[in-house]
Amino acid sequence: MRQASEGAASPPGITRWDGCSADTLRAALASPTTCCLENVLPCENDDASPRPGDRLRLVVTTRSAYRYPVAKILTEELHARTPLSDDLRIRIISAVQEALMNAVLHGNLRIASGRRRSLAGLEAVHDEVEASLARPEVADAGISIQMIWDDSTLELTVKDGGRGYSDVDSHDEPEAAAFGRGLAILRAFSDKVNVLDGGTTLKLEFRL
Amino acid sequence: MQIQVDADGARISVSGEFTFSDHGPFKQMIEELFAFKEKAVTIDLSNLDFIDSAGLGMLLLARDEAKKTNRELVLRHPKGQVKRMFGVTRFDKLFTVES
Repeated sequence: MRQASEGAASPPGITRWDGCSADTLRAALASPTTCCLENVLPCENDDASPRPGDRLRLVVTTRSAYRYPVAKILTEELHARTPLSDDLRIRIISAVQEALMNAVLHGNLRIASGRRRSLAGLEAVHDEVEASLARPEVADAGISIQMIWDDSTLELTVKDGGRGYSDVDSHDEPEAAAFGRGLAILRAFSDKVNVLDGGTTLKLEFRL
Repeated sequence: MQIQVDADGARISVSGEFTFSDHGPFKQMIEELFAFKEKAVTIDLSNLDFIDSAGLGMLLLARDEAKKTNRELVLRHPKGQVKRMFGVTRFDKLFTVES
């Protein structure tokens, strides 16, 4: 089953995902898809990137990024297009997961860092996440994940709709305060990490 | 994430993926932890396929809860991506990790 709307209105390679299951996401991302948008998100201009190379882009709601194994499915789809070693696959899926959860929690849901250091804090954060995801204007906010690659390099960009470091209540290095342990993981697993646009965009590079 | 409790062996086996959204199974893990009478409780990770920084953070919380009742948490048989994550975050310095 391919959850794609490839009718007259959809340019080749662009699909729509129904947001209903991991299986339908896999189907919507299957080759030759280059860009997939979750159904509830508005159409947007998907001009080709100025950087040459193959590409796969997914734009999902905050709700779906939280509920479904998006990092795993995207990495599987990348592997189907350009074979990855086991080492690279582990590094990419781990980095995408950290970047994505950062975009969900600290980007679109604006959950402050450092509150999960106790059981009570963790419980409170989960309650806040569920309450936020019950509000359509928050749950339906988009998160974009784009992968562009050639023979030697993969460039991975995750962009959220949050306010970036303005939400970070800390005098620490803003990046470290925002990402916590996740930043150490991103730095260890990626060959290059760039935090852009005040913390709302994360660009990672991997040598292939 | 799924958890399986071996009450006689003071062991909790976890499988699948352990991420931020696995709060429910994690709460169950903590409750089971407190039900053991033994001082050392083992969490068997041999069937855990994936963990993220939130999952690692929850393991640290479980360790801290165990300490409050003078219990030690032992992590056993991490493999694949989980083992790589332990290496990157120096988890072997924070836990007793048995290979």
